[in-house]
Amino acid sequence: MSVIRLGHLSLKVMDLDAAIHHYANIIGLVLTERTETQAFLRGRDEQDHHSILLNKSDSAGLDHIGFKVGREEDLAVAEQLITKAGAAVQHISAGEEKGQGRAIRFQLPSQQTIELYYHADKLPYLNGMENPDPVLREGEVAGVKCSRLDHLLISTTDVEANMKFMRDILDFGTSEQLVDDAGVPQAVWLFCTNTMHDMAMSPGPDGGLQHLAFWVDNRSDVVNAVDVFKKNNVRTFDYGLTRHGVSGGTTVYFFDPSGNRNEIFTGPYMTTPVPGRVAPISWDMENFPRGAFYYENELDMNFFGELT
Amino acid sequence: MALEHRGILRLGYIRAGLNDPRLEKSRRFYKEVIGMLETTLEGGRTYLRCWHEPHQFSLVIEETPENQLIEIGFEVRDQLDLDRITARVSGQDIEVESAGANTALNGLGPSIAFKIPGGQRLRLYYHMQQPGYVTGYSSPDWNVPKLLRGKPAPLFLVHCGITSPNPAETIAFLTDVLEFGVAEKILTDDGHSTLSALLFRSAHGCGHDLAVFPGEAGKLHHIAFNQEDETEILQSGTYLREDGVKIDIYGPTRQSYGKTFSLHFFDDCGIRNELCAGGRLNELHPEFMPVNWTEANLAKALSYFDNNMNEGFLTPSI
Repeated sequence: MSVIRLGHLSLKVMDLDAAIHHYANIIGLVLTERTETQAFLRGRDEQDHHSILLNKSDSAGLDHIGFKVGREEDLAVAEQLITKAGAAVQHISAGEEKGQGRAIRFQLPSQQTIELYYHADKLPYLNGMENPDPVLREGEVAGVKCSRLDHLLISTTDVEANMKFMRDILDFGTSEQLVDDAGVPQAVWLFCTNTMHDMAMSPGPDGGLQHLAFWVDNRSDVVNAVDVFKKNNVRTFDYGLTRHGVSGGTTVYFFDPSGNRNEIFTGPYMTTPVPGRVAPISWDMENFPRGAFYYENELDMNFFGELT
Repeated sequence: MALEHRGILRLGYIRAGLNDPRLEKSRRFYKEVIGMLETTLEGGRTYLRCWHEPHQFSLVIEETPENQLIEIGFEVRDQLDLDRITARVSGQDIEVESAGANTALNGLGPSIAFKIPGGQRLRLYYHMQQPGYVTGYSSPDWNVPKLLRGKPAPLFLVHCGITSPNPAETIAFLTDVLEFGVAEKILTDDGHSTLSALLFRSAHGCGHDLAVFPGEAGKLHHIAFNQEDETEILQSGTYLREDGVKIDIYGPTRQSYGKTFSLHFFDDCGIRNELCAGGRLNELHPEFMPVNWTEANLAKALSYFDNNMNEGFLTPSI
C-alpha cells in the first residue's frame, strides 16, 4: 500500500500560548490536548489526534513532516527502501509522539525530517459521527472555517534529487513544475493523493519551511479569512487575497506569531495518484510571476528564500 | 516491494445507453447546456469530458432502445491490478471478462468487466488515451475555456450513485472484494441493516466515488460533477433553469450526507445529474471511521436546508 495523506506537521514556535491562540482561535483548529511544551490540534473535519503539533522552541520552523501510510506493513517496506537509498532511519516508539503509534523518521536529501506512521488516535469530527449537522454552531470554533491541513512547501537546493526521492520511494507524482530556461526543474508540486499537491518544493537553503496550508471549502471562506486576519492584526503577506496561477487556487498567505508562513487555500483539482500518469504542467520563468500571483502578476523570487 | 498507490484509483467514466435517436438530445444537453467537451463522436457513441480532465472521456453515451446504465469505469494502476482483481472477483464466483485495447471503448486500454451484486457492470482499466488538458501544459490560465463560459462547465466527474435491491450485499462486495472505504453510511433505525453508503477509493472529491442506495437492480441513481463552490453552483443553477432544465425540488442545498453543497437535476433523457462541491478528505485506512446515519434522520441527510423530504429522490434515473 502507500502514503495516504499528509497527516500532520510538527512545527517549532517560540511562544506556545500565542501559537495556540493563532492556530485555534484565529485559524479555527481544535485543540486536542496540550502540555507545558507541546500542543496538538486538528481540523474540524479531521479525525486523527493531531494534524498540527506545536513544539515550544528557541526558533521557528519545521520539526518534522508526518505522512500517514495505509497499512502497518508499509513502515517495514518504507524502511527497506529508505535504507537502500542511503538515508538513515530512526525508530519512534508508539506514544513517543502523543496520540500516535510507532513511526520511522528519516531526512530528505533537502534535510527536512519526514515521519511515516500508521496509527493515530481517533477522535470524532467536531460535529460528531452520528447524524452530524454539516455546519458548526456559531462560535463553536472561532475564526477561519478551515476544515483540514492541506499541504506544505519546503525549500531545497536540489529539486530534482528531492523530487526523485519522493517519487521513487514514496510514489509521489508531479502535477506542476517550474522549469528554468535550461529546462531544469526549480520548483515542483507533488501529490500522494488525488489532489494537486500534498507537498511542494522550491529553491532555497536546505531544511526550510516556506509555508503550510489549510483547506477551506470555497472562495468566500478565503475572503472571510483575510477579513479575520486583518481584524485580528495577523500579519498577512503583501498581496493579501490572491490567486495562484499554479493550480488556479484562491489563497491568502499570512504568518503565525513565530513567523512560520501559513496559507488558507481552496481550489478543486483532481489528479490520478500514480507518478507520470498525466504529464505535468510546466511553468517557465517568464510566466511564473502569474503562476505565483495571478492577479498581481509580479513576483520577487526572494519570496522562496523567506523561510523558517 | 514498493509503496505504490494501487487497486482502484479513481472513478473514470459512466457509460449510458439512451433512447435518444442519433444522440441528438444528449449531445446537445451535455455540450450546450452543461458545458462538457465532446472528444469524439464515433461508432455510434459520444465521448464527453469536462474541461479540467486530460483523459479522453468521463461520460460515454450510446443509443439503446431503452435507457440503461451500461457500465461504470474505474481506473487502476496496471495489468497487475487487473490480474489481482480478476482473481478476487472470480473467487466470488462472478464471471470476469477481459477485453483488449480499443475493443470495449475507443481510447480505452486493456480492461476487465464484471457484474457486481446489485447488477451494475464495472469495467476496470489502466490506460485511457489523453487528448490532454484543453487549457494546455505551458503556464496555463486554469480558467474555464472561453467557449464554455456562461455554462455550468463543471471541472470533472466526481462520483456516481447506483441502486441495489440488497444494498448491504453490494456494499460488502465493494468493501471486501474491491477494497472501497466507507465515508458515510445510513442504517435502519435498529442499526441492524445498512441501507446506503458513500464509498471511496479517492481521498478528495465531494467525499466519495460511488454511492449505493436501496432500489432497483442494475440502475444508475445519478452522476455528479464537481464545481468550485456553492456560489458557482447557484450560478450554474440559474443557467440550467434558463435552459428549461428540470431541477430537483430540493434546489441548491447542503447535503449533510457527504457534507457537500449540491444541486440535482435531470438531463433531457432522464439521467439525474448533480453539481457538487465540498466533502471531507477520506483515508484508505483500516482505522478510518465512517459517519453513521439512521433512517430517522434521512430527511436531514439528503437536505439540510429543506423542511420537506423529497420522497422521489431515491428513485433511480436510468
